Amino acid sequence: MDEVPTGRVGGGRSDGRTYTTLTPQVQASTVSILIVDDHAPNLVALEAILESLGHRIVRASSGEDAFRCMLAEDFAVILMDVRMPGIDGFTTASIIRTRDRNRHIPIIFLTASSSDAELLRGYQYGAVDFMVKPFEPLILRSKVAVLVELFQQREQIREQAARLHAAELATQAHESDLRWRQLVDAMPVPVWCMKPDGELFYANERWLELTGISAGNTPFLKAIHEADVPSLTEAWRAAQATGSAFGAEFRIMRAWDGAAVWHLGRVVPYYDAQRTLIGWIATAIDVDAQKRTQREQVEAVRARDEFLSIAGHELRTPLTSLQLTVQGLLRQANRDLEQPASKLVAKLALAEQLVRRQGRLIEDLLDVSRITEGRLALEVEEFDLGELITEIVARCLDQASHAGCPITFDSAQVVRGSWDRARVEQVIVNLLANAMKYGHGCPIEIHLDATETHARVEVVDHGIGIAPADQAHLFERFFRASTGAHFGGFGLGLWISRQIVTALEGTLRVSSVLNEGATFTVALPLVATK
Amino acid sequence: MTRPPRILVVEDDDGVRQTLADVLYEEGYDVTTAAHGAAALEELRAGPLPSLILLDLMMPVLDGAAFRKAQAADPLIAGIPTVVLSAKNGGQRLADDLGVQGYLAKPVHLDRLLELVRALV
Repeated sequence: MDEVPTGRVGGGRSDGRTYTTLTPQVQASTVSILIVDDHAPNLVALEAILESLGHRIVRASSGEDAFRCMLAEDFAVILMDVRMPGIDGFTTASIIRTRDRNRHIPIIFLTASSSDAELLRGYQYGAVDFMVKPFEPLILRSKVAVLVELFQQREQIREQAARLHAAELATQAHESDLRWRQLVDAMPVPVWCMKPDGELFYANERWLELTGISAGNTPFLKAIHEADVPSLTEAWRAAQATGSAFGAEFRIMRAWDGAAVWHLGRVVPYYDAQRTLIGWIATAIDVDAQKRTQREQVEAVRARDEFLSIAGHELRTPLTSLQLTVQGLLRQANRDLEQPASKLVAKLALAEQLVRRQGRLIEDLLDVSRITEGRLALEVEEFDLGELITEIVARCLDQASHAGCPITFDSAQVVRGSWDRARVEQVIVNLLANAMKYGHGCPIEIHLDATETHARVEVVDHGIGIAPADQAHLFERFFRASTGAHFGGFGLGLWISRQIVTALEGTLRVSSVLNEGATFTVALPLVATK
Repeated sequence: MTRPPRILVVEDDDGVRQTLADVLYEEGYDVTTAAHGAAALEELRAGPLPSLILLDLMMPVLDGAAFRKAQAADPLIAGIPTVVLSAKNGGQRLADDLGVQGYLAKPVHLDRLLELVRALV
């Protein structure tokens, strides 16, 4: 057993005895032994006795000296003379004991007296043993050796406990990690973890399936469509600066078909207990279908707008020619003929009316498209509403006399405001046309007045009126009063009028009694807020 | 007897161009025509200058906006009053941007056209 590798072999200077470890696991290692004595020859003698144990011997010549040494290193055993000038051995021991890490250092007192009182006092101060001078070197050495081994065993146990604890923690961490991975793998969306620099170090199965890129020293940006890398990098940099989570849209390159699939990602930083950034956890959901729909919608809207723009141009162009021709002929006929009641004039007048009606229908259709898309552009300017109505009434005289509905206009005051002149005109013309259409040959009145905040125009007819059931739907698109008779038109006029008035932040209302007529009231804010 | 005022009609649609020329001729104006902006510039440089230009916007070769730029760059013709006639949606705004003296939306009402022409020549 002499040469057990982990054993401790005493030098056996005089006794030849072999000291082996109490447990073979105890590793041989050098420890430090502190010897404290005010007599230098005693220190020399002690060192000579203990030298053969093969440990480091540290000398201290006083209590204070001992404290200094203990601050510098840990000792397995302390041998201390009881009687020393200054602080004696017992006091030194009691001070040593007050330090937490020194509480269990075995202390052997060296004393010349073996009185019971002295021994008792020594044990009170934490002595482990006494050696009464003159002492037998062999006994001293063996006592020290045992205490050193105890110290080493204690160290060993502490180390083992620490290792065990670490192993337990590792097992726990492993189990927790396993659970975490199972959870993340069960998720139907890609989940991946990155180091602070974006290197992929863990990714779930869905990610692997999607990108074909396995974790480990790969920058995750490899899986991202190159066109989306700059914006994503930018967003990430901003998030790094603030240490906050961020969301971004990007395309992930799908492994099996190389398609770029739009994802909405969320990247969240995660920290250790010291709030140090460990990395980023990212998840992403597939938003490709939504994106595609969105793109298609945008494209459809663009195509429709383009079509409408072209349609508007194309529909109006031949009408321009037709209208100018008819109006030119009519003008000519009126000028040339002494008898304007000639058949030619009548026919031309009809043709002109038809052309204008066609024009209105085209504008109504285009307006419906514009309004539906919220693209009704308003051109606001200040003008006199009464003047505008007077102009409109003058222009409608022919039509009114044809319908047998004389129009009167009265205004309580001058009303000026900022609105879209052409659109307000359109509304009033619509209301007047309606009044004439359903006016049953009765007079039509227009009243204009204003409150502090609003201008108010009333168009009153005394015609067939509107049934209460129909009033609720009057301003709906394509609505037509259920009278049975066909009055012509798309049924868009009131809907368009209300949309225009609403766009101008005003209101358009109706009140009517069946067979007694209808009153349409337009209220417009005097100052348009838009 | 004074010469009748000359009007240049710049319009790519044959029907519209011809009709405009006809109605203006009937009103006693001297009318010349061009089917696009480039032809209009040639016409302006070749013949006697008109008192008024009626200008379409959407035209091949050189459109209304480009014609206005060229017109503005040439001091000889920059001062000729110009009226935009357009069938485009939002034509008023486009005309405003071009700094013209008048705008009429197509289909043009003859009375309005003649009023505007009388006011400008």
